Amino acid sequence: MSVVLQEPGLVEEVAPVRSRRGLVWQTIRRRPSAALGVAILVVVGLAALLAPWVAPYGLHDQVGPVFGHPSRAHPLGLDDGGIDMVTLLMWGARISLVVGFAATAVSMLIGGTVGLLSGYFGGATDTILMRITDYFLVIPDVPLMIVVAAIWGPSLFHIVIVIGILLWTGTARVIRAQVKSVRERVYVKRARALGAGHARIVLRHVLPQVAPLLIANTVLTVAVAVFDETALSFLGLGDPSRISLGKVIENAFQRAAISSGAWWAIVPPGALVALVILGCSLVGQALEDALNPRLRVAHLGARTFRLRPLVGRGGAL
Amino acid sequence: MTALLEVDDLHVWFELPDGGELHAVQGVSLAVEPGERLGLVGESGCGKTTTALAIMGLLPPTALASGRVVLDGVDVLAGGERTMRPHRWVDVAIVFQGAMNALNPVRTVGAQIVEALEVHDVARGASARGRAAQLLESVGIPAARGRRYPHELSGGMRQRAAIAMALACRPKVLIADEPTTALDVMVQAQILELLDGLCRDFGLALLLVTHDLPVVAQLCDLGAVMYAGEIVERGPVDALHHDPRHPYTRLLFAATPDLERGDGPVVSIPGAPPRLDRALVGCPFAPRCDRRFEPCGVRRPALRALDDGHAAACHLNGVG
Amino acid sequence: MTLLGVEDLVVRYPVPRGLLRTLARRPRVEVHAVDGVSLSVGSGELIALVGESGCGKTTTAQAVLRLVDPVAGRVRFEGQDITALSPRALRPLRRQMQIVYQDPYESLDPRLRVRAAVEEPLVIHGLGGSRASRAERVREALGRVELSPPELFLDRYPHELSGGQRQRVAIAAALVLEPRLLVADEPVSMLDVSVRAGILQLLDGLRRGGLGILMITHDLSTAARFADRIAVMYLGRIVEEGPAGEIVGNPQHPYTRALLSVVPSRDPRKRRRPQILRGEAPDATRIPPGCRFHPRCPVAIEICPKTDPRLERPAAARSPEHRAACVRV
Repeated sequence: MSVVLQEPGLVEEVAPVRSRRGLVWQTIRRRPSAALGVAILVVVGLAALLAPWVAPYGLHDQVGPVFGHPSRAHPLGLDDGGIDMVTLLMWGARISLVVGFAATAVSMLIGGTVGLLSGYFGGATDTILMRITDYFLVIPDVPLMIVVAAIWGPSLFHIVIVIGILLWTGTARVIRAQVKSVRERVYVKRARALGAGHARIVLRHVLPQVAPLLIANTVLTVAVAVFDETALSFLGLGDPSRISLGKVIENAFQRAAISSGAWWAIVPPGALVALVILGCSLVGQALEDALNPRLRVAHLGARTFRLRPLVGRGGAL
Repeated sequence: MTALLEVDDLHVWFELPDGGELHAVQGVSLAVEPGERLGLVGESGCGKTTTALAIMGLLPPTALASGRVVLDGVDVLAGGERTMRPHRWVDVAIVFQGAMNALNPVRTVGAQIVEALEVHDVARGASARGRAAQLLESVGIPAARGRRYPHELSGGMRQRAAIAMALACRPKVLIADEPTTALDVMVQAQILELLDGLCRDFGLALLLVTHDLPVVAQLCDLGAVMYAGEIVERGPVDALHHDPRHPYTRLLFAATPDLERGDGPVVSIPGAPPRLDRALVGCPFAPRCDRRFEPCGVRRPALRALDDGHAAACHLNGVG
Repeated sequence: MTLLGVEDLVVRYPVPRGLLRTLARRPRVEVHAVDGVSLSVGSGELIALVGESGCGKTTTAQAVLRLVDPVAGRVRFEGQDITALSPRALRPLRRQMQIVYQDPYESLDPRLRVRAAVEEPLVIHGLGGSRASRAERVREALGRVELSPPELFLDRYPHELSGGQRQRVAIAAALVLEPRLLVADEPVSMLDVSVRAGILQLLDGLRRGGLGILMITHDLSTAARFADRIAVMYLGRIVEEGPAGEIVGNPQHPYTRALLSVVPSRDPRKRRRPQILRGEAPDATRIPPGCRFHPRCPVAIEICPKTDPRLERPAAARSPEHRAACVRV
């Protein structure tokens, strides 16, 4: 017996649908830093991708003297073998990016899986996996690479594996934390109470919440992977048959580019690596900021509320 | 007696990320005399917390405000932060919603009260510590507990500590925003008893912001019911319960359960409050009102005085 | 017909010890969340489990659904002992027992539309046959929770609905499996007052339709109005139980009396004389000896710290089913 006056009505005007599906895209559109980062990556990526067709000169064509100066025909000069720098950069970026992405993929796969299992199952699984993670964290990268190169020979494949092995721990930690928090959400508990199996809960409820953070983490990992590859190649541990940006720098360094005053052989490749890392960082940070509510800092700052001069009753609307 | 705190035609807008504005507070006026307890009652989204924050000058940067907030004769809203600051905590203090969870976890409770005293230049060093101990005692916390960290205290104790902090500078007006919402009914009774005692002993004026009608009915003398950003009825709590002049007030009381197990009707109010990011036409409660008639959809009723401190914004009391 | 029978349920949680404590061989500390609870829910009955935070009511509800495992005691569902059943054996039973949570803003996956959220239980249990027949059951469930017409709601995301509507969706998702027992954990405490009655009326209607409901709440007024029987819990035990009207109108246990006296009335003219107990309930790792309420009891006498009272019919009871655990009644 109730005086419920009418049937419970719909929320009168429905708020615009703002689903989280487009969050990644939305973030990129809204934040200028992310847009800049994307722009950088797109430009570099395209240049690298289209290198075989777009590069001004052949990769192995000697078109001038050793360490030829920059000129109209060769805006960035020539390297120690007389090869055009711009061409070298484009081809170099190819390898650097490929290694970067491949290593990141390896890292994501391992790290994501470990983080997911660890965070979801907790208990003994968590402890064991986290101890394993700790072991991997402790491994020093350069000596590992030296050992791998010494035993199995340096090759692109080995570099990818090594970098992947070194980087997955960071991802595992981040994913684990997120999965742990999502697992405690009421709707996940409810799914369990309904009798859903683990696979279903992970795929339908946990993963979608974790995916955006995984993407942000991926982007940031690419930055680190590219850097690592550059560093390893510079130390001569890279694949000698492939030219990556690190190798370009190494070559120049070995052939005394600095004392020859040929800055164009060293600075541009380094700058390009830095640019790629910058691009990834901008996008990754923007995504993380947008996705991680804890990173949002509340009202600290000099800005306070403002006053609106009285414009008369209801005039404001 | 001049009112300790007077709010006159307060409006607050929030800028929305997609460019629009949310008109959260739409012309709120109220006054609190010394020793008085006013309960600002409403459901979620009605603007009561925003009103409380506006009085304290603690609105976020996305907010725009207009109107007057007069403390002891001085309009403190007019100059923004500059004019608010000297009065904040010293003349009017607030116990925030969920304050018990907002205590600094890495400092002891006593140290946080001392901090409040030092920041406002009320006392320093040993005298501050002494006063902090006194404050803790006055809210029912043994002074020795002042050396504990927030996580070592129960919810009720933490809420008392938050109240002690608010009283540090001997304000004349205390604003309590949902002070007992997350607490068990027994602890709630303790806190309400505490607030009651503090108001009597220190002559505090209390502005109690809550959605919990029974708490207002028991603790406050006056009540103001808010809906969609404005006060729709105001008056002595007795009049609000026994002679409501706005359908929302009547329905809100009716929807609040009481311990007597009657087989009487159980009331709920269908629909939902209107969106505040669009202009409202007519009475904001009209779509859900059981007594609406023609003027309700057309003209927005103004808050009109009825008798003896009782006012309501409803055409049923006379159109115009 | 008795749907649910709980006998002497005990649930304990170990408090995690740090490394130092483990090395020093300090004894394990346990939280005695539920310390011997017995109750029953019949079909068409609404039992309210009332108490303050930490009394064990939520843990009891979780143990009933086997979401946590009891250390001792029995849980029987429709006569069958489910206390020790394996997760696999429990699965078909999970259809019969459903739960609705307190927080309508968190209990629905924000990425699923209403249609998917209500359909999910059917999919999990492989029920409902074809997609079309599942869709039909979804609409029917939405109709039962008074979200009509269903079309208006099927494609919405949770964030587009109000709190009350979300809670109705959660109830619909629980109902779609046609359970016999529903556990409602504080179903309306996070909703606005004007919306609560609607949800409670809905539950009441379901009860009249034969559903057995175990409602956890801290709100005595709600329990008084809607429950058939009330059980008051304190520190892991039921201290008083009986028909709702009897408990509210003729409380015998000092704790129940104190609790009822401090509930504020909406009528300013009715100011009860509150019997405010001092302090707060001790934590459940250190249960007082004898009667666990004696340190805060306003009428404790000397034997109270030494005797642990059992639930018995008080002398002043007006109903044969009224029981209280106190030596003084």
